[in-house]
Amino acid sequence: MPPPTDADYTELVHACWPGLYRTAYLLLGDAAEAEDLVQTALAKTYASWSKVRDLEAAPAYARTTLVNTATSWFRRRSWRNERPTETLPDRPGHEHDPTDRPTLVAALARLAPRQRAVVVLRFYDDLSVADTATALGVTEGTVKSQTSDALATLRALLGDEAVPQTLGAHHD
Amino acid sequence: MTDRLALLLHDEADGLVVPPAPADAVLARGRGLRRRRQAAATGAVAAVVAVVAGIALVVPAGSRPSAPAPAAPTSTSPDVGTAAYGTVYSEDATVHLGDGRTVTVDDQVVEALLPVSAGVVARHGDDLGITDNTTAGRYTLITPDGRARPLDLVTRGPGYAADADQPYLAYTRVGPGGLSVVVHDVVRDREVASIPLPGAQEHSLGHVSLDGDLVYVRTNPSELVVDWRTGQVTSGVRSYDDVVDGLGVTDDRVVDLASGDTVLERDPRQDRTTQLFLSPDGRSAVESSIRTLRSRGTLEMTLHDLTTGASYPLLDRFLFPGWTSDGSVFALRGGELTVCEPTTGACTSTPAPVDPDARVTVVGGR
Repeated sequence: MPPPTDADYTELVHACWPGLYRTAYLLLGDAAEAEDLVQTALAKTYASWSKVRDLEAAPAYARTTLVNTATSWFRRRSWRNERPTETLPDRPGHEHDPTDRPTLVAALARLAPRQRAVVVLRFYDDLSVADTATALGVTEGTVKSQTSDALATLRALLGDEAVPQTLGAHHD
Repeated sequence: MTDRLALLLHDEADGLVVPPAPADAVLARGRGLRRRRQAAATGAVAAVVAVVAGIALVVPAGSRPSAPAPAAPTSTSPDVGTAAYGTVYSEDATVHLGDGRTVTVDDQVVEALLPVSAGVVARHGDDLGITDNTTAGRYTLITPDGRARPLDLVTRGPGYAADADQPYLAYTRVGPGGLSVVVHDVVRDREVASIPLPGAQEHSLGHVSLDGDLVYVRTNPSELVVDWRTGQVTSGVRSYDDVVDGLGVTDDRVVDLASGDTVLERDPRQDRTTQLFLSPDGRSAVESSIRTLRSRGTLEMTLHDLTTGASYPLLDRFLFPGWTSDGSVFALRGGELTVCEPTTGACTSTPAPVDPDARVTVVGGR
């Protein structure tokens, strides 16, 4: 299957970019790294065109690639060692007033990488437990336990109002 | 009950200022990645063929290299992956950034200007006029905003290289344990991999190329191909002067390493004095012949667009061409800086007085 024309792929990149960037930012909590992650995912999608086959399938392929790439970054020891857990990140490129409420991204940054991925995929991308498990390459049980742990941490950071006690039990 | 957290996440995401989509950069990375994957697959097949044919591999059986140090993430710096640079050149220790700004490195002379994803790395030293295995080269990362950061890195000998798509330098190192290929992250300023080269002889080491995860080490008589992320070392069938974006350059041709196809062949009317220079993005090449300078008093030069196959004659000043990050080729000669567009061959010249006694280096040049 030949790769798409430059014009077609350019159009695809422009169409996919905003959504993928938002997911990437929530996953990584850093604007520059989010941009690089989306670039990487879209470049990998282009390079794997024999598997993608057509432009309509490309956005879903790119999203899966983005999650897989982020997961591989999380696995690296250097990433685990260098992600600060005590220092909360700034909110680069954000229009909201940072004083209007506790920053959700800052709270997400306190989660372990995989817990953060579970929260983003389930509650932002609205994936089921099964789809989240597939995307992250883990069991459904792991997704459920990671969700429970992540919500407990977020509840402690953001309060019951943002993360009610019963949250998660009904989101399969 | 899930609505509140979902709403918060969507509110957070909706409030983000989304940067413009860098479609050109994505396409360039995608093409490079495709070529590298194909080249890696071809290289693996070639290695198997070499074993079957009884050709001695440089890495002896049972002496696999030790695992490299963990690799850093592909990108960790805001400027990685998107750094743009123009007609960067050096005049002794002063680096001209192409927009009127200059940076001076703390050394006598700049020997090479290597494009990386974070900007340009200057290799410099006391006197690098003749680079042998004892000459120390030091390095400074120059970012697009004009900041210069000396790196905690000294290499010796001619074996060093960078990849314009990555924040890494690769070089050969001779240590107590023998020879090795080392990869240095120029953004984090630290070593990220060291792969032993058992069996390789110091005196046979030559030029090094870095292309994605692969480091090509020219040796005599063949070439070592090192996957610096996995530590795998194989011997190549043929040595290349340079490897860029899946393309190998020899004296007389540019070869697509994945397919083995010849992408560009030297003009058969020319002789061995003809040189091929490949751009850092692998999309164009300059062919120049010194013989014509001797016989006709002028240099015959041609700019080849490798993506379309089009060729354009160049002015006789591109003996040692440099390249900008957008693929334009440029050169300094006769007090002028000339820039040519690779897809049209159109050139423009501006005054650029350079001290005739200074050592001049252009970015991306060799």
